[in-house]
Amino acid sequence: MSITQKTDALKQMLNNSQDITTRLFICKNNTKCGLVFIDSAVDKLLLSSSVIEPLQKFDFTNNKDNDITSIQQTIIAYTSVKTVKTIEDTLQDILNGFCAVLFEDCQTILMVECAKWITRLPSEPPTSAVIHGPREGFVEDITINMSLIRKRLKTKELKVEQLIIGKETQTQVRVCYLSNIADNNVVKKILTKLKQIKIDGIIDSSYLASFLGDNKGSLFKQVGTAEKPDVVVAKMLEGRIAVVVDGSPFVLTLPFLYIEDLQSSNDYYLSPAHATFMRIMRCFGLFGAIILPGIYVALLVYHYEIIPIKLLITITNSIQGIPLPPFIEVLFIIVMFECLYEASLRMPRYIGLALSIVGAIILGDTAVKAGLISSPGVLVVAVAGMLSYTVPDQSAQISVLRVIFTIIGGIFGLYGLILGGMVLIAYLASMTSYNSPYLAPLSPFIIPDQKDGILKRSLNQQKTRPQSIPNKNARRQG
Amino acid sequence: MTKITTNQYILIAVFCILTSKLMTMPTVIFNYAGKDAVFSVMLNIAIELILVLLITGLIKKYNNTTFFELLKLKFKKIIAIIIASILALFLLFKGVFLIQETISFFTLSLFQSINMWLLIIPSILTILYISYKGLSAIGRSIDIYWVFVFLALIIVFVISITKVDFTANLPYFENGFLPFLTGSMHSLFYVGNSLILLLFMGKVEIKPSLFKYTSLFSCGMAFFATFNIFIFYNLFENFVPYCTFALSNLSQYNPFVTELGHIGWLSIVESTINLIFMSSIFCYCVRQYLQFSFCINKKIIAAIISGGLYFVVMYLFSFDLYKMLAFIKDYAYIYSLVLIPIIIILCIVLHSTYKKPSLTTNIYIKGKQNAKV
Repeated sequence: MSITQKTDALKQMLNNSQDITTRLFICKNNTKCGLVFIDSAVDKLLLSSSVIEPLQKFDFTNNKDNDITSIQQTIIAYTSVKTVKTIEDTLQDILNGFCAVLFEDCQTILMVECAKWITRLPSEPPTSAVIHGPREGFVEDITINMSLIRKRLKTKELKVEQLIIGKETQTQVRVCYLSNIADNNVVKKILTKLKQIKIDGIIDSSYLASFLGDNKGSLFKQVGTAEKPDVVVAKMLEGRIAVVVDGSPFVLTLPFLYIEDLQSSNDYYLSPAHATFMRIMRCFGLFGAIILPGIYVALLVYHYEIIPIKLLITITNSIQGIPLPPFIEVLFIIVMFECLYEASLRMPRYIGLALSIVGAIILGDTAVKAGLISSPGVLVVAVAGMLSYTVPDQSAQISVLRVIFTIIGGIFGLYGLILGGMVLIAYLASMTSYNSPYLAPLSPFIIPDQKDGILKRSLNQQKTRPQSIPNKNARRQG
Repeated sequence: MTKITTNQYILIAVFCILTSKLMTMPTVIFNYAGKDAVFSVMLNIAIELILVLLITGLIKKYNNTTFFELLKLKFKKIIAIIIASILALFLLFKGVFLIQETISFFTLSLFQSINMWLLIIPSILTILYISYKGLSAIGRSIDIYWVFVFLALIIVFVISITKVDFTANLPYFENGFLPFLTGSMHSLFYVGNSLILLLFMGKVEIKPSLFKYTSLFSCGMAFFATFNIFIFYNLFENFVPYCTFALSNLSQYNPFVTELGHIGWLSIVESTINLIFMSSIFCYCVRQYLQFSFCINKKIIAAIISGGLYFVVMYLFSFDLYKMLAFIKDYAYIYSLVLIPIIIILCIVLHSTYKKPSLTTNIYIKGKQNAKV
């Protein structure tokens, strides 16, 4: 088979795509070579300087038996060069950004990894901004992400298992854990779940999150996500397992506990007292964001005698003449708030800003002045909306729960809110994430773990790893 | 098998001492014992405490078997089912009473007007859901509730104690010991919350300190509850018969509270959580009984039947707390009068017939495990 036939055959097997490039060249002693690669996936400059040029200068007369290994070892100046025997492997490697090097009169194909995917540089993630501490964030390239983790974990105990998931996307997924800390059963369970996934494509790590969660169809997060390598490393040091997905700046961590969302990486770089205070504030924020509109509606509809008399008079004066009952009014404001939020997210940034001003100031103020909605109603929903961003990772769940609790408050009053809260707690309490109770360390109340629960003790007092996360090695210090 | 932690068990035991004692019981007792009511309260709480300690001792001994299995093991199956049925009937009625108490006091305290069904149906559904979720949900939920419940209790206690005249009901025993004994007897239905602990047998992660801490915290709660009722009697004196719900009245009509602003809702929220949660545990116990006696494998079916039974019993009393109270004072106490001694005797028998697992068995098991490794 001539070299042209070989390259054409490969191109044909790759569906004759227009971005598959074939390049033929002749070496010193008229030996013909061919390259097959994806035009948009390889670094062409490096390819020409490290593959084509050395090969063109290479005298194949000295290489009597077409010894590919010696070419691989001495000529190609690339870090990753391998030989493949089957056509399937060749095709897959080409799709992964390798360049196939073919030689006349030789069956073996040399694969040179010269992929150059477009990616951005690590920068501070917009969703995890910190005042203190590292600002590096993950990007969409798995190699960069792995290097960010490796940079912080220079230990032989860091074990990485690689899987390819997605029939069409062939996405690289790497499961990283510290083999001397992470519980083997959890690692095994995660790997088993990942291997069982049969899907056409994995576009982002959130695709995997839905497969890795223990409680299918739950409103609540089942898998932790982190956009910063310092957070992932800290979690791995506690015994968690990280799942890095190519193409996603979000690294998944397992097992996931609800309290993780009440903690911020900033807490670990501040004084423990301040971190504790902030965590308590986040708890209040979470509680208020979910239940405040519901309580407001319940109090106005059923239990106004609870409201202190002066406050009641103020509220009554404000809601006088409002055509909508408090329940409908608050629901209406919540829906408007959510729509405004959604619109400002989707709009181009400069229009989004204008929309926020129009929505918040002009629309709200005009609606109040027109007597369509009351100012206490707007205030309550606005405060609840603002509070939801004290726990940004839970804001999606909070939005849904807020609507549910407002409806419950409007129909069943305070009694319904208590029952709703009890059902919610029972539901959360019954959930587990890889055998770790979802509400740990609050429920079950694990005393040693309270050093880094809602309260935060200084690092020198945290001598053991959290018991809430299964691990092999409990001791952290000493 | 899912197990609850020692801490969770202790909290459930403490809740057993507290539950429903601060609601309608003080008024019911006062109607019989008058000024001596506080001694009837003490006697009732003491009986509850004895039950808690006896059952905790049993749980510590028989930590590998459930109560129903133990009954089957020690007696014939039919006797085991009879004892279990008598117990389950008591627990069912107690669970229903707790819901009815909650709904009534909530309506009286906070709702100007609401359709009763809007309270009954969500209550039953909540109880059904929690009982269906089972032991881990119950155990872990109490880890969260106890903070709110105790905090609210302490606030009510602190704001009440400043205005109380401790000599208001003196002298005691003016009419002898009969009123105090009658009061205690007619309110005996309020005792026996701790019988639910029997159904936690074999489902508790036993720590060596289980008995010590259960005794300590139960005694503490018994003292606290008695003292709160003592304050209630001294604060309201002759108005007690008009105050159906002690804790609610204690916080709502306390002059100190009124000066501070209306914070009676705090105790209302606390009591609701406490009562509904305990009622869920009763429902869970009934579910366990149904699964054991009628061999119902699916817990959802057993939970729905328990919820249905709750509804039927509530319907029989026309969803009226006062009808239920009358039944308790006139008839249900007799049931307790029979059941509680039976359970006490049963506990003593089970204690005395307990045999430590022989050493050889342990060695055998250990050896087998090693061989497996």
